[in-house]
Amino acid sequence: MGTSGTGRFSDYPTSQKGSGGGGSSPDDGGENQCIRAIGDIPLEEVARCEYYVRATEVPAPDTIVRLRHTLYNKRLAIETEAGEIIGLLPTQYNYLLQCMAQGYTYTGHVLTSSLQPIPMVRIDLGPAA
Amino acid sequence: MNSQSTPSILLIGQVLVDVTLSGETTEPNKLRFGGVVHAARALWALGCQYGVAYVAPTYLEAQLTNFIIAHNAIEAKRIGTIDGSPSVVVIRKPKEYGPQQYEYLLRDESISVLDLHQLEEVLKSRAWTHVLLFPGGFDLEETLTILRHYDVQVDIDVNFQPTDWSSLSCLGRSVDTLILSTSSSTFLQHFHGNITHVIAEAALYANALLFKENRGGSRYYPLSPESRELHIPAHPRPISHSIGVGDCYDAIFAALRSSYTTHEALCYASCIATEYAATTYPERFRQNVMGWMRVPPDQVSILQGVSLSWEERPEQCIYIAAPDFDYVDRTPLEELKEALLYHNFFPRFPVREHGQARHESTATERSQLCKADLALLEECAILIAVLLYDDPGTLIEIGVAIGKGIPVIVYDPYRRAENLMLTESPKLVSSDLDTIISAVFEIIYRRSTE
Repeated sequence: MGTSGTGRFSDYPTSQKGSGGGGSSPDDGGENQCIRAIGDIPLEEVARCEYYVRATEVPAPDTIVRLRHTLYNKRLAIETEAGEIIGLLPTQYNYLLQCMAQGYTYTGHVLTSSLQPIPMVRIDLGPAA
Repeated sequence: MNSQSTPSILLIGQVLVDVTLSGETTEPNKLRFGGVVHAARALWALGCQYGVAYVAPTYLEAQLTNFIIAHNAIEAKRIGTIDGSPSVVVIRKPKEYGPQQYEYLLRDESISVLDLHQLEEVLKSRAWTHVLLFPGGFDLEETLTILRHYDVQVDIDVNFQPTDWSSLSCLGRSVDTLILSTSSSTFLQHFHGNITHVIAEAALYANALLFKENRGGSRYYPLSPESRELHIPAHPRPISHSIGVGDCYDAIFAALRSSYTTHEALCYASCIATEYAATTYPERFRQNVMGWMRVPPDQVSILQGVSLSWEERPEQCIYIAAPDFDYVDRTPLEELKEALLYHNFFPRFPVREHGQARHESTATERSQLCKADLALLEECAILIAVLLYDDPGTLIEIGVAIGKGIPVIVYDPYRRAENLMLTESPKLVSSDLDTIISAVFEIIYRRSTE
């Protein structure tokens, strides 16, 4: 009968993967959140944003959208290809601001949308190729 | 760094070995240097000039010094020893959705011996502009008595020690920023139900108070009459851990405040601390820090997140819909309750408040119970349903709340929710308590600003 365990420090610069577990070099892991596609995001404040205010409707499914490069009303915002704001991203995606600062851009499309009971738009979003 | 003046920061604190158990996840156990090293990682990622004067058991010294120097520190020196304890902390719950369960091995046997000569050597070795001190595991008064002879700004994170702040007077001048968090075990001792008590006490020893409120943001109080307090939002999101996140916040603020306004430095610190919580991979963290530092200060300082003060949280009560009956295993319900109370929310439990209907209850009694529960629901800002099984009462309460426009969150610990109406109608359905708590912060904050 033996023991198992964490054989070495997990993020020690000279750590190596292998027996003993827990070892990984600082460069080899951790998902890059900036290249992660995000599905089914419910946009916020749709009824107060430019698109609905102008058209009193919501964009149809499959409409191409993109993440605006600058903040809109202090929030990350989703806009049409023409630059009209559709809605705001939930703040849990605020990290995309620093991803854009790293050079990433994000596009996507409307997944579903409806006017009742309140104007609502859900989108898929991912880094542009 | 976009620096007008280059800070040189000396971190002083104990080093621990953090062992994060994987639990039920597929992740391997994580074994990392903790304690003051969390702040060191932050300064490394920022590219800041820094050194570390640490207290640790001698068995760690060689690896630790190499580790710190490999992370671009200009100084790494052991200034004290820990005997009697390996300084290992076992962490079962890495996410701070409720009280974290840390097991500090042989803590009561721990004996620290500070080498004041080594501390003096470190202080003399460079022109440090700031000292960021994390008391705990070594003699604070001796350390401050040495520091009083050096012309350097001193910030102190008092989350763990000292519980009695009078020892801070050993510095012989005001601490620049006193840092306290709602996650601190000593926070409530100083709070006494009102932040003004903390401010008044901090003003005796410090020029400013930085009060961190977990996912509710933070407040900065310059302790002079003419200055205004600052409110900094948090940016809650799914995280991988909460360990050392506050230390990261402190270090980033200390490093940036000479190059940016206080508000900007705090906003960067808030965003970067969230990045620290999102990964345990240093290089990934460093890349994300570099990303944030490319965001202009006029953008980062207006970025909206969540600002929900400790005092505001209980003002909007939370209706807990669940089969809260004495014959049911209510473990997930108790975990939710503990987590909500930990963050100073006000959960309301209708069955506990109004009673449990019995088979022998009369029609009148049953009607009164139902009315009382519905009246309570009207008082609440949010409903959290706990799906322990397909309890009709819980499902009806969900429907009633949605019909009334009350935001509904479904905590689904056993992943039972499959019905379309149940999965699509609430604001959130999740089996992850951490995600539930973040959503509570978000929803109550949004309602408070409407």
